[in-house]
Amino acid sequence: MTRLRYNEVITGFPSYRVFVAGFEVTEDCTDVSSTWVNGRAPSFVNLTLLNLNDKYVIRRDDMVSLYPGEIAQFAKAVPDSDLSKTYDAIVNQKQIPLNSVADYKSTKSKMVRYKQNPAFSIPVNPTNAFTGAPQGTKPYPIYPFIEGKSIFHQNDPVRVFMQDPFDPEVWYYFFAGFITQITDSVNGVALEKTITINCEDVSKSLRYCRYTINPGIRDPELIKTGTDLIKFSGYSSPLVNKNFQEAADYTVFGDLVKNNPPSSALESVPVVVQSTGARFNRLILKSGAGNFKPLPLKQRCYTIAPASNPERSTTTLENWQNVILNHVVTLNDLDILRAQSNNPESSQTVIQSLKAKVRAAQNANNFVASLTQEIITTIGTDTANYPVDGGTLLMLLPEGLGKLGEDVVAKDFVSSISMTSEFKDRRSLMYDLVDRVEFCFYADPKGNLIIEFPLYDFEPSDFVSPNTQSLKRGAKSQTLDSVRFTHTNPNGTVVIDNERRFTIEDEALESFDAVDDDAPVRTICQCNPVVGIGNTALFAGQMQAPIRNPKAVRLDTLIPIYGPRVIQTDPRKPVETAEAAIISAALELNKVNSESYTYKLPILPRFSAWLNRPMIFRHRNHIATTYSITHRVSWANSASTTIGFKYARGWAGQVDQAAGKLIYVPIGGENSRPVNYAVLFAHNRTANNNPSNDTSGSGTQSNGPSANPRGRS
Amino acid sequence: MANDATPAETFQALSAAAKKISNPTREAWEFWSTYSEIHGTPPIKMSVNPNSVSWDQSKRISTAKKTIGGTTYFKWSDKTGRNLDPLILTISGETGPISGLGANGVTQSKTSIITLGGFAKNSRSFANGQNWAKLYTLTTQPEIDPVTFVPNIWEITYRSLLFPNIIFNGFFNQVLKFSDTAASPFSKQYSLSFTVTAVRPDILQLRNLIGSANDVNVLRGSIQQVTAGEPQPKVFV
Repeated sequence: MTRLRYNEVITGFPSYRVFVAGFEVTEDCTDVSSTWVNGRAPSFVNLTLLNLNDKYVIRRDDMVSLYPGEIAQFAKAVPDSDLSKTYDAIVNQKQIPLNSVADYKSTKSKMVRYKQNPAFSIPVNPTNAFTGAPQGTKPYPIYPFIEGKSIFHQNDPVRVFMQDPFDPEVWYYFFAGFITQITDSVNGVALEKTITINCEDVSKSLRYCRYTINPGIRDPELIKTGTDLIKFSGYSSPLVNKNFQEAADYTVFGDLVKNNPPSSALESVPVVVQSTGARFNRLILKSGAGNFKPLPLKQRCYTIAPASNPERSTTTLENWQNVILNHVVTLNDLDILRAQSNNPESSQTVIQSLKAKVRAAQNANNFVASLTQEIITTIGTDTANYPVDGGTLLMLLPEGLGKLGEDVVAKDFVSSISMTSEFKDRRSLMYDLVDRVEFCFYADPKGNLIIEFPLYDFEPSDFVSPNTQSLKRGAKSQTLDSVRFTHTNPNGTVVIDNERRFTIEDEALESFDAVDDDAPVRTICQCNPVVGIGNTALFAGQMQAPIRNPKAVRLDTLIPIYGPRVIQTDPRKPVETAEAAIISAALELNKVNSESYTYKLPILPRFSAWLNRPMIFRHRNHIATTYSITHRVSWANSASTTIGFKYARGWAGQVDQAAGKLIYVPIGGENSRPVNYAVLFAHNRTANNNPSNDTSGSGTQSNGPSANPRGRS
Repeated sequence: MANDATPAETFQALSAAAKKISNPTREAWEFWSTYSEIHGTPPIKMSVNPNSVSWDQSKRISTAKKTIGGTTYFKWSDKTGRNLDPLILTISGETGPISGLGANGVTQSKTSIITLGGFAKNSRSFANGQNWAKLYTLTTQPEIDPVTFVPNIWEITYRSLLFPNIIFNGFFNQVLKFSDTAASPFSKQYSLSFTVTAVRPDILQLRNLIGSANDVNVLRGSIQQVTAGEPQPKVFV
């Protein structure tokens, strides 16, 4: 069959499954949209649910089912009231309305009764604020139900799974997080009822955990809670004297454990399996945030070694993307995502039986795609064994951070010690940490937290190992080959060709607007080393810090066009040494200049897109790095993905003869990017800089420094 | 037929036989609803069935999305892999003489269109007018009973040569549509648009039954057999 190049007709089959608080609400979900951003913000997902006949709202008749005792007495006393008539219709005449709590088969009834489980109540002992007299201890439900309010609650766990529209056998984790906002809407014209749920990714667990250092002497017992992380030291940051990985671990897991936490570091949280009613205790870290698992370091912290010693890398970019961060739904997820607990075997029978079923199918090379649906159902509904934040902290770091680690991360300013406690949420702390070195921090759709160094100097082909064959365009994918990059083996293993996954062909491209903006460009960055805790004279009673010479990085090739535009690094960075100052300045230039040439591409839905990844934009033959991804699926209407790009590079005529490839250089000119990670670490395919090693502190570093590949990490 | 039958009896017997053969689907259509059931109103029977029913069921395929290099269609399938939208029935016909007045002065007609289970008051046209009003009211009933909160589900018993006896549940997506014209002062053109939410028996089962019987009564029996094994439409769940 001959196909015209510019007349490809593609058929997509979008589909999704949505779980809220462990209950599937897919059939009522008409709109799913999500936004990932690489920055100081979490990713969000918005869900629109049809609320026909108040399916997800507590009505008057539901109140009868929730509080029958009190209403029975009322009905006896005031028989002619509307409430009494409703009571009579439901209790005496057995007229049970659709979507009622009284209808045990309805989702509303199941969710209400699940949340009413005694495990989800806490004893409270309120006192009268005026007299101070105790008012009696009684269990108080964590999930109250009020007439006219939704049956959902803030922080209910949410999971969304998405089918690959162009390879329907493949399902992706699309989102894991918690409800942040619930909007109950009624359209006055059409009387359509909808519930809109806004959710925040699993990093929200960090937002609800605080740390304080040197709690004030006046109020610590009054305002601290069990989830606070408290540290006493002479510093104002708990990250002092920790390397990057230690600091990140500390923020997520607290300070009680390294690996294999002892029982003394754990505490039990009662949970209930909604499908079976089994109740058991989940084990979480006392000083940790959420349910994140402190797996051994080797299983969650990976490094890319310097280009001179690639064999020391503990992973490749392909392995990192396709194995460690793999967000295709697979059987292994039943083990990987399960929380630590004292869960008796009996409550795991569903999981065990499903695993046996899938393994049998795999052994027979007879993988049944419908088993994927069972895996999704299990992980989506069993929030007791599979909490949405039950992942771990995964890190991809350069093997050595050099001065980045020694002087930027591990130092701190000195501040005065407050008399009252100052708390900070741990997510802000994490953002501060990665901002110091311009790394990325985000939550993945599976429920893990991810830290990566910037990958804007790499290319899509760097995510394919030399021994991995690119997918052949077989007969099966003949009509899908522009947007399909997955292949499912007979045993059910999904193979993703990253080179095609990170390529945007015209067939997938709806439109584009590329903006080349003069305003963000800077050509000189100045960094002033400051006095850190290591040599401050503050404690000696001298308030005057020693004067340090400022350091600067200058991009000479850009000055003829843009002139000498100066920017200063963030003064919060505790940069002490000349080397660290130069690196900080270079990274700052990388960051600000990346915004001079940007574009947003609306494309066909691509649920495998990922933040901080280089993608090729074929129409203009540019490589750029993703910094925002928005997916939107409106049921029976439309499906699309919009990707925002920064750090664009184009071809300036140079060719890598040995590799037989084009060399892409930053748009804005060669040498306009003073730090090149691809040159420094493992993949030396896009060399376009020759960074000078002159870090003698002579004042101005021209055309960028070289980050010392050896550091304390 | 006995030889000693009178001509009148012969004619009657032949008429009955011919009617059975030529118009085996003479059984009336019926319209009903949950709301009617709650309030004790019996089904409305059509003495002359609608003269036209159109079936309209589209597929869920998005408007083509144009990309720079091609065209993409999205097909939105459900758990069964199908992407069918709800079936919409457009039912239309013409009434006989109807009147909102009493019997006096109104022309009698032998071809009344709508009766309420054969019930007639002073005149046929008056009764027809009453039944007309009931059909109209049926299409304006509340969607949810305001006291019991029970949602209203309408029911149509559909009978034709192709589908001898099937029951549709769903809702009228507009109030009874009709025209009152001077050219035809007594009979009214009407149409109903009905969105189907459930059907007994399942249309796919019905497809298998069609063609399996030579006699419509046998086919009807088969359908009833299939339907009998199915649960009734869930109104009170």
